[in-house]
Amino acid sequence: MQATPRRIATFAAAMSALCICSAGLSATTRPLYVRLGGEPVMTAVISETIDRVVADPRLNQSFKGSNIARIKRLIVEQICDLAGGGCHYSGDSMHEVHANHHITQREFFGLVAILRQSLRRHHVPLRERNELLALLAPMAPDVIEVRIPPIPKQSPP
Amino acid sequence: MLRRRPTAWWALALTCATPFVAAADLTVHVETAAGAPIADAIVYAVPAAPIHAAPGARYVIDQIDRHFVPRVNVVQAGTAVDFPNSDNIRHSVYSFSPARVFSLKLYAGKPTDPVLFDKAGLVVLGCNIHDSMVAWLLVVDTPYFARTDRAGIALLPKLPSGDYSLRAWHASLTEDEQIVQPLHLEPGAAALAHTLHISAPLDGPESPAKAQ
Repeated sequence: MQATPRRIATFAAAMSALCICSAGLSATTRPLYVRLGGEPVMTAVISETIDRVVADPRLNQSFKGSNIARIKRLIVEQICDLAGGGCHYSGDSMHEVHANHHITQREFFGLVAILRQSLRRHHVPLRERNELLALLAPMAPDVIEVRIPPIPKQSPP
Repeated sequence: MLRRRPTAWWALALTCATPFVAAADLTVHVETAAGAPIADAIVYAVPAAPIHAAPGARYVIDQIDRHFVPRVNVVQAGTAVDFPNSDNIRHSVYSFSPARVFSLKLYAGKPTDPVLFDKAGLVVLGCNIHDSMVAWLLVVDTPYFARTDRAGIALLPKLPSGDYSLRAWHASLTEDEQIVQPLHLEPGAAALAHTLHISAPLDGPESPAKAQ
């Protein structure tokens, strides 16, 4: 193929369009939630993660009797909220949610390990995986071994 | 059982204990169509003029190990029910039943106000967070109610003479499926027995097949 001036001009125009395009969608301007793959990918990742945790007897004690579909929906909603996806997390605080469930460090980090595997399986890039984990890591003190004393029993009237 | 009868019930029982007041002890047998006893059915007699609980009547439905305790409950209309949450993990109790629609979040270490049930009807309770949790609260317009024992027998003591709607309900029945029969108690009747048959299949937690 000969590099005619017309072809060169077309190529240049195409390249500059590509550059503008990729600059417009760069990591610095696109919200993390979009870069994570948005709702389809996060729904799949969280569903897979929670299913695997619930199936694991070393990790599932705090999920006993829980409405798993609701947990998945609210986790996706919370990630969407934290990662700039434009959602508003409608659930309770992490502290209230996890209080007195006796969640150990082992359970917490066991879930994180499964989440990382699921993110990789769904082709979420390293940078985005790390950004997501950085958003979730500060929750640890509100999840692990949160103890709230019971309300004192009232004497019968 | 955690049932607490309103104080009015005892006052009534004392009044009726005097010999010249017309009242009868009503024994009700609840059976399947084939004659097998049905335990944990609620039997109640609604007088022609419904009777609400005295102000201050209270009842307790606890949350223990991710279950409502008790699961099958009956209270007189006008009773305030406490949901104390012995689990001390978060629960979210709700009802979509027309007799009382409510939603109550129970957090660890935080007391909540009781819920007033002032309208007769069946209230099905659930927990948003633990979808396996279910309980039934039958709200009745009468102080005359009892639960059948393992022999399928419920005793309604000192029932004053008059006209009643005698009803039986079990957790596997909807409100519309409960058994309803008119009952007339003559003055002077001392003890009466009555049999109610529930022919619908019983698949609730307290069905005869699962009773121990």
